[in-house]
Amino acid sequence: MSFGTRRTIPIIITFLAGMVMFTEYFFKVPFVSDAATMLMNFGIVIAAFALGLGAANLLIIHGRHIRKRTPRQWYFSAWMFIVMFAFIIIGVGYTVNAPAYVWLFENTLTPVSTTTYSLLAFFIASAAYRAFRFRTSEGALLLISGVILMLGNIPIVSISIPAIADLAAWINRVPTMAGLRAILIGAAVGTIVLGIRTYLGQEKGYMGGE
Amino acid sequence: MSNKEKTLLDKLQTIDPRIVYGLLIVALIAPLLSPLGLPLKITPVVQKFYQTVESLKPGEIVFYSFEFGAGDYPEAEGAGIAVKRHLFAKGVKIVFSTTNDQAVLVLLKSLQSAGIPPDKKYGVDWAFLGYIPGAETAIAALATDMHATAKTDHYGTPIEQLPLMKQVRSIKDVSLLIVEGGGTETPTKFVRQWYAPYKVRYLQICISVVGPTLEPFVGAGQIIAMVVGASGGAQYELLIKRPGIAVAGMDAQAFGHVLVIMFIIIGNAAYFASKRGRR
Repeated sequence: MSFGTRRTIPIIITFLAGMVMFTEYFFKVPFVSDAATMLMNFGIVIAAFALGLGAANLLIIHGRHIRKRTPRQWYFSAWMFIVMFAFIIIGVGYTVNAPAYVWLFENTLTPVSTTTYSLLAFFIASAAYRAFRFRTSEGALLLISGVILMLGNIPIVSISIPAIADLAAWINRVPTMAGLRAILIGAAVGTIVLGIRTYLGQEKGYMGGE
Repeated sequence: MSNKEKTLLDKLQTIDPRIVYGLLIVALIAPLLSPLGLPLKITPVVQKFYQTVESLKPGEIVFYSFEFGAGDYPEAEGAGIAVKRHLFAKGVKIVFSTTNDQAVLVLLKSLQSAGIPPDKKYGVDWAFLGYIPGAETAIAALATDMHATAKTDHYGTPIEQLPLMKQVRSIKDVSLLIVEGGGTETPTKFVRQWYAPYKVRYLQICISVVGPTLEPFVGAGQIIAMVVGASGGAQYELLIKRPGIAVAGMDAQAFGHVLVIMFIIIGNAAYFASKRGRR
């Protein structure tokens, strides 16, 4: 297959798939909807395969670390192998509803994830104390709005001084929302441009090209 | 200003993080061991969430996408449990689903904590479609044809055999969408794939850090209302008159916030005092 054909066929497939999804989203034509449903199911199957691909990738990377006895790494890789295979064997062999799998999940992943997330409270407390200083006008804005939002989150404060709760709600509703909307709209416009370029074959990054 | 005073001010600006951590542990644990029962205010947004669920009629279909992983789930655990209890009490039919592989067992734990009423039968009053890979593609596909997207439920039963799923084919059969968790990304996908084309009524439960990032969707009316974090959960528990884990944690959260604010004040006071001293 020539280089040109290798490029042209994926571009045509992308264009047709894109047009089907575009038409289905905006016009709801019955036979186009059926085609769109089929394409989406393809996507779900491909995503399921991607999980397997991710697992295979992990095995290759960590298998290399174990083989080469990478200092201060290989035993973590070996442990990753043990945990991964324990989950795979129990999950595939006995299903994810099996007591053994549930026990493994609730006694390994759950406490580790929860602990990691909980540590944020301590880091944020320490970071807020060190970073929230009245050094510049921008820093002052951040400091004041941060403190107002924290006060607004304390129930007794919001009941005793309703103005603080109202101010906290206003910060969320007006300046925060305005900033986030600007980001969202900017990202949406960028996505539309990227989509059009992809449909027209001008964006070739997904094929591994420049 | 003497050297000794300068040293003290400098120290107040650079308190050892271990002291901050230690005091925070005390501020969080003490109220949990000895709750003060500080009063709570019901915010309009939580009230709106409650009223939307309250307006559902028995037998209406709620599609409940549970997206929390094990790590962030505890912060909104109270909210999720309270909302599920409310839904079961209303007699609506609930279809659970997830696009997060880790969320499957977390949802089952949450349902266990909520306590499914004995008269609610699996397959008739509620069903769980399990984990559906494909993220936004899966969300879009569920809207158009749930039976083509999830052939079997979480337990391997073909969904055509579930009496509830005979009533639910696509988003057109759904009265309300509730998404629990999913960071900022998953709710955005639901807005794009469920709200924008079908105008589905949509409620969101999320953790505190995600709440502000979803405000634009609430402001635009795409998400009707949100229950945010432990605070939102505590309010919802009070609304359904079943105080639970979130109400219990509110004193600890309040003390934690007060401590952080105190540290900020101390740091700034010392900073200004030392600056004035240097002049």
